[in-house]
Amino acid sequence: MGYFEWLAALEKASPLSYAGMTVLTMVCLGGALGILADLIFKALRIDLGKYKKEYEEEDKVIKVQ
Amino acid sequence: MIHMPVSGVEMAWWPLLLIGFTVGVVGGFFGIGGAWLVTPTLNIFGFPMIYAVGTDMTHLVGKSIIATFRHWKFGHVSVIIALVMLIGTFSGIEAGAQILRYLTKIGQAGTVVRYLYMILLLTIGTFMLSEYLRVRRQEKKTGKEVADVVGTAWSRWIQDTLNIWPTFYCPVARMKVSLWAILFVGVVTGFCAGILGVGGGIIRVPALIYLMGVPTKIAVGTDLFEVMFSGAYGCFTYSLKGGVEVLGAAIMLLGAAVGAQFGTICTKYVYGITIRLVFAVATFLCCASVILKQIASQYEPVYKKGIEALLKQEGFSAGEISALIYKKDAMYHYMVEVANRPEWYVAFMKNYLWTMVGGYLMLAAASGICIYIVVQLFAGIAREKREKELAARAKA
Repeated sequence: MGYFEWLAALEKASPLSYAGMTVLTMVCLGGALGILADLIFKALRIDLGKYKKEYEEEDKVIKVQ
Repeated sequence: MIHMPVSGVEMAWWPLLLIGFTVGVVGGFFGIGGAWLVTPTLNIFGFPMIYAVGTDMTHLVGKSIIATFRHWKFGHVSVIIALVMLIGTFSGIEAGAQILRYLTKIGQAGTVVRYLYMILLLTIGTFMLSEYLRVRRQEKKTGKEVADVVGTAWSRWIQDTLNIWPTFYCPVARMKVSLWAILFVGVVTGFCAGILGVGGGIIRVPALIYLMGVPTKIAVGTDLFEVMFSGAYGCFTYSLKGGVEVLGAAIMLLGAAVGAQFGTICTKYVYGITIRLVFAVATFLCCASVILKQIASQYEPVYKKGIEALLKQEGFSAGEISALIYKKDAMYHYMVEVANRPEWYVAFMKNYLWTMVGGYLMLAAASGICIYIVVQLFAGIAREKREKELAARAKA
């Protein structure tokens, strides 16, 4: 909570720094949560890599030429 | 209850977490930001409205990183198309924003923009729905399953007309395309987003499908890649104007981080044509939200300026006024008992009721779409498990 209180104070003192810190916070949090989810899927041995998509099967797709 | 340090408002944390989760599922599945779902829903739970759009835009940065990462691992992201389109999108947004500024100056922005948005959404929704129904009819006639439709007469025309150097082959989307064709589509969608003052995901995904001719899932993943950058830009500018409640955005992001995984993984188990059907339903709901907003906004001129001036006089901050203006009891006190303006209160109540209808409709819509996606996900996982077991048995 201390961090968000500090950010709120920064919003009044320096809006430009606040804007930069907000973007940075979201990028770091998003990146960390994304990596964490990936590690959890790996630990659970769930394969979420590339797979055969429907548009790779010619007979299942209507192609407008 | 949790104290929001920027706006100074106290509110419960769980609605933010839940909204984040729901919009995370929807965004991961469609590749859209979903501000039209988030903003009215936040309103129901008493979130200060002047922070709603900025806070949604801020959580979108983190959410799109998570969803794009998963789509990229699936092979749904065409980085080259997204990067080139991004240049066109930003220039288009700037041109559209100039026209929006002009409309604001002549006092026509709200109504004109809302009507334009309604027409655009209805057109996109009707087109997608009719295409889905046509494909289903064709399936019945031929008895052959159709999973997606790739390319349109428009995309063919754009690519043939703008077949100018430099052209390159995009292996993810399996198509050869000119840089100018991507830039053109980027400018068109950016212009629409700029003039409408929206993020543009709900315009860009259909544009990628129908104007660029990319498969549906690639359109979703590629748009999410773009949303990372447009979201970061929106987050920065809204923060600069003091319109972001960063703690609220962080809580929403925690919910969205889980929801985005559900939504994104579900795209593996459904066909592109099914995504288009749900997208069409979403555009109709978004249109309903705009219509209700238009109805509600008609009552605002009667009381808004007056009550805002009064509350400012009473010593409330902008954030507190934005939160107070949706509280019936407080408004009755200040409009009738303090200002002695019952006509303000009558107009306020009409606006309040229509806004609440919109909020609850969007809450129901978001929950309904979210439940549908989660059910599809679990059905897909069960189907995959069954198929693997059958294959293992056959091998044995």
